[in-house]
Amino acid sequence: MRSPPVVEASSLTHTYSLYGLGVAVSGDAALLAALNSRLRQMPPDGATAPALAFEFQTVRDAANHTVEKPRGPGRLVYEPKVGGQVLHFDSRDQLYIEIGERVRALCDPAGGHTRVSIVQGAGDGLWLASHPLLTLPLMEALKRRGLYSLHAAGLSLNGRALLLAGGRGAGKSTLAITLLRAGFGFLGDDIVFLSRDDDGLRVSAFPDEIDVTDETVKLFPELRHLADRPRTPGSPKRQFRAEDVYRSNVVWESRPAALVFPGVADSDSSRLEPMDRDEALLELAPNVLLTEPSSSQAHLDALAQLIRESECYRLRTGRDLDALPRLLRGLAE
Amino acid sequence: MIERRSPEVIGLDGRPRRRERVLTQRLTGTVVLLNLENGQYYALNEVGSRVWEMCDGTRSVAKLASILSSEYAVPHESCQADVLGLLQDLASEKLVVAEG
Repeated sequence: MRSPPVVEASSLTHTYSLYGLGVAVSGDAALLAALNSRLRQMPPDGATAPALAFEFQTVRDAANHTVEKPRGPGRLVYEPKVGGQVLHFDSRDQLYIEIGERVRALCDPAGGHTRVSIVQGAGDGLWLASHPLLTLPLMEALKRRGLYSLHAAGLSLNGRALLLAGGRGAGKSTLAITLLRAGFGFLGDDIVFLSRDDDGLRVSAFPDEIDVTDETVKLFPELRHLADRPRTPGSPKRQFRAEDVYRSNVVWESRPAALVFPGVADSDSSRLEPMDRDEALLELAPNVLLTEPSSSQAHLDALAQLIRESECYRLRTGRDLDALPRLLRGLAE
Repeated sequence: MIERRSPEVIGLDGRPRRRERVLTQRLTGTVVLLNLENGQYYALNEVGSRVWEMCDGTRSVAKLASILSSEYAVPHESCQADVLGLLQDLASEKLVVAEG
């Protein structure tokens, strides 16, 4: 007897409220648990018609994917570090993502609908579906709703945001943990969202799990238990929740104070250097996924506004982690 | 016979115009350009930014060079060569197109 192409014992739906928008995610129990590990700080949403809907389906094999690549020419707009490609189909304004044969997603950012298809038994399928295949469509759908993503760790002090921007290996998470230990409020480990109001730019939290390397785990005694846990298949790092380890609170909204671009320096002491604003814009420009022109321009404009409203610095992070809270506290005060 | 030029080739009499599918942002001196078509990022310095601003399809390259040589008090000939070189680079990157 042939098994059905879509393998789902039961499909459940969880709803969250994200910046006042209802977000519904539906899928099997394992998938929802993986998503909830990222979204659990978001309050539940009671709206019957969510603004954003994510539908995850597990399929028997790659021949039975429930997501098809749209016809016509698609532009490559991003190459995920885990492999695969992200294409934008200009005429339909659709985002299509595929990572090997294992996972596919099709996102209608303006309509707020995303469908994800995962091959059953793909070792890293659960992680891919709950991480890049959630994050990329979510960022693109929020972009159409005036919320612009910034790849940065965010900490808050007295309602003022300190944003640590930079790519992999810049030491964002190590710095974020150092500041959480010193009592800073938490905005996010890897992403925050920017939006505008009458008072200027607002930084909104995305209090996801914190991703740490084994080297970072070794730096903080309270994280050493993570080294004993099996790593999530597909994930290059280990995860924990800030509220499980530190007495930190999520600060949902802050005003920008400082934008810091960290880099690990082979020195005993850390050094903070003022940074040219044009240089900061060039560093932040790759945050804009080059899809639909008008919202992409608005994203670039929001990044420029962030730079205008923040002090910009480069931080050469030395081995004096204990000294960093004092060095950085002054930027947010 | 009418010579038809490719819009990506710009001469002194061509009137460069910014392409539509290019995102732009200027903070202080530098203009940052993001080309939706090829996913590339570009930065123009202060003079390049001034050239970019004037590329609205109404002025020839020769006219742009004349304006710049006056604004920056530089010799016209070298200015014209530099502006032409910049615009040819911008055209080959599909950031501007030549009118006329």
